[in-house]
Amino acid sequence: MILCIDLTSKKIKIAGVKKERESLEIVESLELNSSEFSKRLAELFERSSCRIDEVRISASAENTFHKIFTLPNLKKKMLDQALEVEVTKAFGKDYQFRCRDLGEVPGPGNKVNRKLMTVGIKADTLERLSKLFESLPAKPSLFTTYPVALQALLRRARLSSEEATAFVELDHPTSRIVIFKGNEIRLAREVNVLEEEKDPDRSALAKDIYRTLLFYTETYPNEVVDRLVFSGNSSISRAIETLRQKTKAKILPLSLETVSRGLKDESHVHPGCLGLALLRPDHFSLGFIPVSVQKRMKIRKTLALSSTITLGILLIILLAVSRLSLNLKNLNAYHGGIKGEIKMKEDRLRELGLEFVSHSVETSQPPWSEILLEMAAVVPPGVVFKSFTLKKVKRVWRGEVTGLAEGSDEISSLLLVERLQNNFNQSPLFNGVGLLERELQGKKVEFKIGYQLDM
Amino acid sequence: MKKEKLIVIGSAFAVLLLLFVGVKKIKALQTQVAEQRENLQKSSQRLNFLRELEQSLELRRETGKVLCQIPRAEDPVASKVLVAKFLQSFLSRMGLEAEVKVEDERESRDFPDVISITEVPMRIGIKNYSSYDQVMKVLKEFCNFPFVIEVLTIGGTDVAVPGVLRMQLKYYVVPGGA
Repeated sequence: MILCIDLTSKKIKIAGVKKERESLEIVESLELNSSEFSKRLAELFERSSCRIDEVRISASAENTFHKIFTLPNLKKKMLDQALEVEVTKAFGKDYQFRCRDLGEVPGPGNKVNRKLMTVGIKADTLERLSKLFESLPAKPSLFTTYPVALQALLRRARLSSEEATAFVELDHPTSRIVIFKGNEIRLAREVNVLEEEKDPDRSALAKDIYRTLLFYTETYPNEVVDRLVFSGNSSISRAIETLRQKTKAKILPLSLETVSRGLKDESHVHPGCLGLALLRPDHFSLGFIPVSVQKRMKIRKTLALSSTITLGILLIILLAVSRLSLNLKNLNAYHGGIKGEIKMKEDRLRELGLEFVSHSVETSQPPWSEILLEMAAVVPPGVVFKSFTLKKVKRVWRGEVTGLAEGSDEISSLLLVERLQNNFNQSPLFNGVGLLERELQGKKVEFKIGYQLDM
Repeated sequence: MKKEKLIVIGSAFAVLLLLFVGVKKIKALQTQVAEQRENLQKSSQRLNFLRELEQSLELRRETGKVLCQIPRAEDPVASKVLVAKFLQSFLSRMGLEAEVKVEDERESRDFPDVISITEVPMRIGIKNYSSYDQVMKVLKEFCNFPFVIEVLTIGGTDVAVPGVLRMQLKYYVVPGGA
């Protein structure tokens, strides 16, 4: 349920409206004096049969303003600044205001101006109203003014027009008259109503309304109010007829059937409250939020944003950590499998020890018979080996032979040594052959030859 | 404004703290993953090596010859004596007079740790031989045992044992082989 509170006049009007898509249903309807408002409000929250989801308020008339400004067609930011200056000049700094762009209008020369309708509510009024609801379960979601709410009602009732239309809500002790033209709220005024005994034919009220219409014509020269819409007490039909004759305006009744099917034209339906219920906050530029609420909202927004960022980062980190942990877990499992297989292979290899040794012996030992036979073959006649050695040094078989070459003379002995060296070099089994020592002993030559096995 | 600032500062601090802790944790995990990958690579390489070795040894078992082993005793000193006696009698039967010096058994470094093989270093000095053929025969006979010759010299002094033909060799002991 939407609780709509109209604080515009001395009598506070409250309506509980159930809104389902386009249809409205009045659940509660009250009229209170301002003195009993806060007490009755708390009671209302307690006893209400429907849950109050939303509260909408239109502020009292003396704390609001409606004014149309025509400003040069500037860029948005500059236009906002210029409008703020104009509003401050006109009403001071105590007001919060909203504006509605009414479009371009021709200015002096070829210039184009922009027409802006401003609606303002005193900032402390907003704060005061907001505080009233501090202890209550539902907080006001929308503050606006009575004419703005009424405009929504007229639009819904298809009474809004490009012709100047005056809406008169007849009430006691004050009636209200608002003049609209298209989207513009041109005039809003309260009219005191005398008691029926003092003004039985309501001529004083009719005069007051007529004076307001004349004032409008003075304010907007060459313009007259074409249509008059009445709502409320119907006991002034004679006065209405007088007004019609004087102003030549068309008299239109406010039919609630056109607003929503099922709504009856009853006196307890407050047009201001109904208008509040019809507003759509998401498509509405003339709604107010108190500064303290704005601050709270900003804090909440900052908190939500920072929490989201923190949570987002936390989530990203958690995702990365879980992904890496999972990766590590998989690697560990895979590694464990490989280790197990290695262990099995090692156990199997222990059983194949003899084969391993056999393999090693075969691959590491040189062909001894071939080496000894080759060694015998490379020795030419006249040469005698004194010693022959073969040893394994770091996987390479190195050897040395020492001996004596005995030729017919020193030269032939030396030639024999050279021949022996050549034979070593030509053998496919030896490489890296070198004469390490050579010494003449008479005609004989003592030598030492070094070599490697070519394996 | 103050509250907003506090919230922003608090959140920024929380975000920084989260980033600090998170990045540290992520880096640690990345290092662990990298290390594990490296270990995995090494293990895979080792496994491949073992597979190939196993295949080759299995093939050898099916087709290769069987090496003879010298009988051994549980007592290491007795084992040493057994090896020396065996070799002396083996060479004697080939008509060679030899001196055999056997050292203590030790763990062999010629094989991977997987197969725990020990080795018995020894030196053999053959005092006389009739021909090269006899030497070749001895060397050929040695091939039937798990012997590897490290030094062989005829007429040289590189091996500290008396004899014309001197050999420094190792006898591999395969666990459970004898």
